[in-house]
Amino acid sequence: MTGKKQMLNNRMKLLWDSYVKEIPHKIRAISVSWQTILDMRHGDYSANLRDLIRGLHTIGGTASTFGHVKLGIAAHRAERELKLIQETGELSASTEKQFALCLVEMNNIIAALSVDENLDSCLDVGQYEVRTRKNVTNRTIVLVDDDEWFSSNLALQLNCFGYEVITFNRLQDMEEALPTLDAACFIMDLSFPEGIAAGAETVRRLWAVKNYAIPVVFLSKRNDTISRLEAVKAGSDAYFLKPVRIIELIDKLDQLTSQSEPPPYKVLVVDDEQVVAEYHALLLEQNGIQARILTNPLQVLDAISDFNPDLILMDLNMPKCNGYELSKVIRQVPAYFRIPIVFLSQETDPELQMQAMNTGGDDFLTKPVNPEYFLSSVRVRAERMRILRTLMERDGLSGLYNHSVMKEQIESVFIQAARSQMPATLGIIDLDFFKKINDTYGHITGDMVIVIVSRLLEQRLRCGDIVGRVGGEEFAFIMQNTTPQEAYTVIESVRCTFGKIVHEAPAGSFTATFSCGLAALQTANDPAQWYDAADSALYKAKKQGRNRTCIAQVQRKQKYEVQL
Amino acid sequence: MTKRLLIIEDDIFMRDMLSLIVEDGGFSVVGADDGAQALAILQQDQDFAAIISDLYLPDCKGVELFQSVQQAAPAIPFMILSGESDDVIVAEAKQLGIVYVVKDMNVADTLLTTIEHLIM
Repeated sequence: MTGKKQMLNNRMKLLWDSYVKEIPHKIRAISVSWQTILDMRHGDYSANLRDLIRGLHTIGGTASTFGHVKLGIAAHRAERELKLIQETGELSASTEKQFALCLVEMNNIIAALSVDENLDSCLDVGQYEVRTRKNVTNRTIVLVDDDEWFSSNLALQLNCFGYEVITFNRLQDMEEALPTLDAACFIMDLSFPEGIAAGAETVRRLWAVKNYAIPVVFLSKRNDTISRLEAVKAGSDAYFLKPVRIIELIDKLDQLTSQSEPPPYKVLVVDDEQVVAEYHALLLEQNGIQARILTNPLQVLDAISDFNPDLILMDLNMPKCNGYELSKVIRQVPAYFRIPIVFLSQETDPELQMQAMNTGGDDFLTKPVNPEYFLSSVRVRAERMRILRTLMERDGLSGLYNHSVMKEQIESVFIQAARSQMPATLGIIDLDFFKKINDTYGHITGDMVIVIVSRLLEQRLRCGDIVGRVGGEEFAFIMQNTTPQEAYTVIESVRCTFGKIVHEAPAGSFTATFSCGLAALQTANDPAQWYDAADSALYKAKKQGRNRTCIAQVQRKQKYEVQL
Repeated sequence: MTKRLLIIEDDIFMRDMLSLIVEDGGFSVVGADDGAQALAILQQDQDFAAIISDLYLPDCKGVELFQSVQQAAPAIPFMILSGESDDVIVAEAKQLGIVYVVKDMNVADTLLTTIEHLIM
């Protein structure tokens, strides 16, 4: 399987895993609809039956397509039972029993799925977390290794990623200094002259006595179970084999030293009754979900664009337009067609409920809500939206914004900055001789270099800066309120840092460089011109011998030319 | 310019999944819940490289939608993507000239390959 395909599969799996959590809700909705049909058994329930068949068909098809054969079979069996009713026009006691069994079976399969399948088992999961750059966190690392050359080299590499490193070559020195150290994380060699697991033993002893809770990462040349076990006993947070792959170590350190929590889910509550809306908003807020109330449904599009919710909770019966119509309005805006909508209503009319479920709506809750069920329904869907948004917006390899998001961002910054007359700088970076790196050291190594550039840009640029991967080895970034001269200083420091990083590959180690082109907003009359200006500056940097940054010269608003 | 696809699928999860797949293949997506909405979109905007529809939609069948789309936007290639593998239904659709693709376990590959053929 190629890397790209593997990546798509992993992303599809993430989406599937979030979907699985919704299935119990769907099955519950099916049970409710089924009960309605049973209640109407002597009347005309053909429309309800048709909708129910479609619902089951969808679940079955989806499950089979994504490799969950058992669930697919159970859903299709349930669908067949219903079709039998459709064909014979008779709802027999045996059909009723069979269908109930199918529902139980589907529930059981889902319960088993959620135990077996662990999101974390998907190795790439870390790449998809929405990375928010931290403000001020302790980035001091204590490195203890008796190999002086190795430790000074590693310290240098960690410096490149913004970590302060305090190095000790002897365990005893570290132990003496320990009370004065304010470290976010320890990196320990496992073996020292004192013994093959002396590093682990020291950590275990010290942490027990002093009651420390500092994360520890062990490094070792040994890949045997005993060594790994020693590390685990010492409470290790990770175990890396030497030679260490720097980017993996950085990922781990970032994770261990990070203090930022993911931002709360955002839910827009649309209800014309203020009191009811407030009640639901309060319920959400109390459970860590950010809620905003909208009592005028006609303002819904503005509210979405302003608040950017992960989910919309909507009353079905509102005077100016009902929730069903409103959801259609929302879905007609291409950018919003993925936002989950959960309907809330006192409505007990099964027809309306079915209609709502079958178009646009993701779930239907009857007021008064059962708080537990309400929260879980909201949470699973908001979570899926979050994952989805990340998958859609981010490049799978680098975790940066992808090409299409970057294009939108360039357009929106251009318009904003042009309006406010504030400076803004667009930069394009291209790795030098990347094809040669791929050809010489292989694509996996090439990918690693891409990831390293991405991480550097993420760490070195400021929180408000926007970074994306816009091509195979091409990156773009936007710095608002920044002149090209200021951007030049920042990116030159990133460029120098990057050039110092030693990349390890099976065929040997090497260093790499990049070229960069910068363009001020004033070089262009529209976003496309802005991009072209930065691209021309990049071209000039390449032509002048690569591994450098060039700035596009501002001529007149009508024309731009590259500075010579 | 990114090529756009119109995907008509009322199951939100499936639509998300298909969007993920085709966006990975370099397309951008406009989504519709049902046939009426799809036709409303096509009335205003026909800048689509292809249309991908489910077979069973809330308000009509994909086959019926195909016939309406034929009149509204005859130049845009149309494809049905469905889990329904019933021979009779598939044959009927194909007879009408519809590109009919059955969702299988390799849905990502199948879908992208078919789209490529469609828009060549």
